[in-house]
Amino acid sequence: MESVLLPTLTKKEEIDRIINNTIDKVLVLRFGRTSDENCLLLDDILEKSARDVSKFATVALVDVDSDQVQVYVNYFDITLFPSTVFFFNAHHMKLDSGTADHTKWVGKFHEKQDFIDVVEVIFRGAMKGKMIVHCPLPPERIPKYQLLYKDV
Amino acid sequence: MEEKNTKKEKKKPSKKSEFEFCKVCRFHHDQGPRHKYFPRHKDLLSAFLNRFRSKIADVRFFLKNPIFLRPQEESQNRVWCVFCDEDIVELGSSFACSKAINHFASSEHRKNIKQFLWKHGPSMDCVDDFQISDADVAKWVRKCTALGNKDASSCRGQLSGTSSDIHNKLEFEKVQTHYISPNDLNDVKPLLYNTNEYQISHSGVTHYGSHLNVDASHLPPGVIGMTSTSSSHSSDSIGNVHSGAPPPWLNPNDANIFSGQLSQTDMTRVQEKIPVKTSKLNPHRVGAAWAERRKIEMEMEKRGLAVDSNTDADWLPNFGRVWQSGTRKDSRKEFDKEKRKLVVKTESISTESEERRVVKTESISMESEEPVQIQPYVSKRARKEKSGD
Repeated sequence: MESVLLPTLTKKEEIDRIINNTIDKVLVLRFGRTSDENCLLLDDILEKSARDVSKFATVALVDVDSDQVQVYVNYFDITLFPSTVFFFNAHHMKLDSGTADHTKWVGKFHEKQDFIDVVEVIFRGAMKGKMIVHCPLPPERIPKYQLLYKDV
Repeated sequence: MEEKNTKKEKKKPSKKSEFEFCKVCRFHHDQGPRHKYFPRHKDLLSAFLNRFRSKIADVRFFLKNPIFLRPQEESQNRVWCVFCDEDIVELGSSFACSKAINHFASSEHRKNIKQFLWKHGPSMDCVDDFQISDADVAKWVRKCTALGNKDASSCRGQLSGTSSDIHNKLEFEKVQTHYISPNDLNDVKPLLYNTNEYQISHSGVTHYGSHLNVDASHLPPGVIGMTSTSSSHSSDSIGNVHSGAPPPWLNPNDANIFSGQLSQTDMTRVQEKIPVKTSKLNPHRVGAAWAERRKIEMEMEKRGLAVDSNTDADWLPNFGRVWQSGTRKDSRKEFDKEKRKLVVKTESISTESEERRVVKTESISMESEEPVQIQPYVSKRARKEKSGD
């Protein structure tokens, strides 16, 4: 089920192109599959807020079931879905949300405003030269998960 | 010693009068009649009187150029007289500021001005600035009657038979305010005023029609006067809606003037209100150098120049991995190493047997590497705290 607004990327070249063409804007890449319920909920929020953040962010979906995308799945250490990775000017932006993994956002957002707040904080931090920012959301709104090292 | 004391007592002007409110300074004081000589009071008084002078100037404009007052604008056409402490509202008056003009010419107002200046101001010179003479009022009344007669005659000439109600209303009687109730919205109401009438508003005045006696110089400030007078003069010769003439905004001469002036005013407004956005972004933002280079590359691509694309098949963005510590370059190197090993292993396995497939690449890497000590994840902050303790 392809979103009308958000581009779905299935090839590495497409991901490279969108990373290289997004200049001075936050790039939000959602890694997940459309068969997953949490992923669909997250997609819904992303689609609804894409326009609101369009001035400072671009949102794209990446289908993890595609073979060509597996290199990115491994490179970004994505083990849990959905995972959202943030970039700014082809540089990865880290988000300290109190969880074990600062390199991405795992799970869905509670509501639209939460996503907008996170993207805003990332943008503000990036414009100031910070590569890691603090998550503005309260702990109860941040999805909890267990991060396992190599499935151990 | 005793004489000195008595002299001192005499010198002390311990005249503490009762507290009274000064309308000019807007505070209570117990200085009594001396208050009006204080420099602060004098400054505030001059500002106070200047403000009222400007209001009187607006009323004097309507004195020289009588204009019909529409019922809708009655509420806007009101003046507060500071000397008499009363609000002059133009209820039921047919000409703009008619009640204000009558008030400023009245003897009671003159008396109040004198009282005010005696109480607050040191000099009584400026009484005439704040009142209107009877001669001026008489002239104004004559102008009003002339205006009314002209208007009534022109209406009879131009309007058709169905507007007989308008004929009656346009005579010099006071027009009662006609409130449109929601029930009447579907019905078509006759015009209260001829379309040739002046349409007045306090914020801006636009004049249409052929009965202008106004020169451009007499128009008050804040009025789009220059363009409107020119348009009205042109309509004198051309005609109006009833005669089937084109509207003034389609007149090429006026359109040019109008659009030119508007664009100038628009430009000045824009320049004043909206500050010009500087396109310079923070040079210390993340990936600033990359962004500048990429913009140049994109411009060159747009122009059609060949650009060395750095997006190889192996290109990967700057990323800090989860299980690697150190710089992002280190994590990239480590990933490349893992990838190479994986490729080598898969090739070797595929040559041995096609059926065997390695599902988990991590397990292969695990065998070849040294045994890894599995430890629970401890955040940087927790590590710092522990080391501090």
